[in-house]
Amino acid sequence: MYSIADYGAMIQDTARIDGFIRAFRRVITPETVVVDIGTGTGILALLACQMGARRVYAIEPDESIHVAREAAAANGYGDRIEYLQALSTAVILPEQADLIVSDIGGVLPWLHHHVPMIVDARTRFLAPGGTLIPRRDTLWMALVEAPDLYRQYSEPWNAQPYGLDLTSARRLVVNTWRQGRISEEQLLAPLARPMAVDYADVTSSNLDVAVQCTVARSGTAHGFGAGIDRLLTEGVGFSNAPDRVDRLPPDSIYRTVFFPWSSPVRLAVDDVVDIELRAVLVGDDYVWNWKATVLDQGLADRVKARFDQSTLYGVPLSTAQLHKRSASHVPALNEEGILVSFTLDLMRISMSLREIAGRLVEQFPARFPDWQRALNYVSDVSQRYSQ
Amino acid sequence: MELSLRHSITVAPDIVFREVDGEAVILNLESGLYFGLDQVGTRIWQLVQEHGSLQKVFDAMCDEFDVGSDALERDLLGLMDELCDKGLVRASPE
Repeated sequence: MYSIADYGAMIQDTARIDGFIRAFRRVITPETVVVDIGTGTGILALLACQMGARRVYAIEPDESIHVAREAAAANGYGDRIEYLQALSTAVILPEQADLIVSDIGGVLPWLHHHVPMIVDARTRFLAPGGTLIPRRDTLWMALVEAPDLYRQYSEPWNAQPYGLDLTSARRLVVNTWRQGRISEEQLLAPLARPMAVDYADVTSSNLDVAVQCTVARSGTAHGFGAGIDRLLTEGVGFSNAPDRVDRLPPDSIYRTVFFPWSSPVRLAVDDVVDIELRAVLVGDDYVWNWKATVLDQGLADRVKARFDQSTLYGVPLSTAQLHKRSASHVPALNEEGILVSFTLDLMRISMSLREIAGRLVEQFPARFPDWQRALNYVSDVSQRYSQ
Repeated sequence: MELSLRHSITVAPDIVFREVDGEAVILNLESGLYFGLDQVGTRIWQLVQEHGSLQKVFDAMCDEFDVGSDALERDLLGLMDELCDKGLVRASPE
């Protein structure tokens, strides 16, 4: 979930907003019905109205939707925008839409349930011949020399601060990717664009690509970068790719992504690097895996380095946590689970929060020594689970 | 296919294996399902990766663990059957 300040940064990203405005101008008419998925504080829904849309269904599960509703009233669009506080997958609309607009994918399209949500919305909300904005995200990948980005992975753990050995953390951290700017001067090989997510027909939530890079400039490779060329609608889009002259400015919210290698590798011109990148949606988030094989001058029998990394290796885990993730695990509720279950049971029989808090104090005096603490707890559970 | 010690085992390509404190979890990237291994299962997995041959895995386990050979063979083949069913390994006759 984003904070209101995050939404402010998205609005201040003028390249982003200008792109959406230009795309709206091309597709919105006075008859257009729009669905805005993940409206946040409502900027795209408001702009759709400003462009003349007849009706906008603005969907957002977060409390920020109340800010959006106020903004609609303040701008005179309160009667044209219907706000629906829910996940889009739980919404039923009274009519089909001519346009579905969304921007819930983050810096790469594989974020939480973004792709399945768009597939669901396309299937259930979109009228035949309707339009999706964005229309397509093309993935780019590039082998990079990025000492500054890599320093965050190595220095805190390798330098033995205060005479302490902290290298166990390094094994974890090199299995995480992070956002960071990549410039054209950092490229060691031409960019590859191995696939695109076309939102009009995407069905798979997962990513599975392989690219082969032939080194064009000698240097030290620290990993590879990735990002997107986003097509909003025909002729309108933006990109954060270093090889694009019209690339987004450095302060754009669409930052590039850096996948580090376990260790840097010195590369010569004509070395060949095979990279595989996979993202698999497991539960609510993706497990990312990246492999690389570095071949001296492309010769199969002269392997300079081989990496096999995964965000699964990047999370501090205990044996107990491992077991909890196993399909064969038979779970038992912990204390927090018991409390939530107890509270939900009382919510099912239409008890007030005041009464539920009283029961919690009786049943769990160690956890709730006074009624106010119990009420705070029940209020939180109510906010999360009640209608 | 009925598994025996004359089979060879290879780990499926879409697998991520993570070990912590001698126990492990295997993620099948195809299905998105996790599979947990206890310490003995984790050791078997390591030996399978090292040797491939179930006979060699069996021999190594006999050396390392004080267990009857019938029980070991039954447990080893049972675990391999389960891992095959879940698409985590593939078996082929040697």
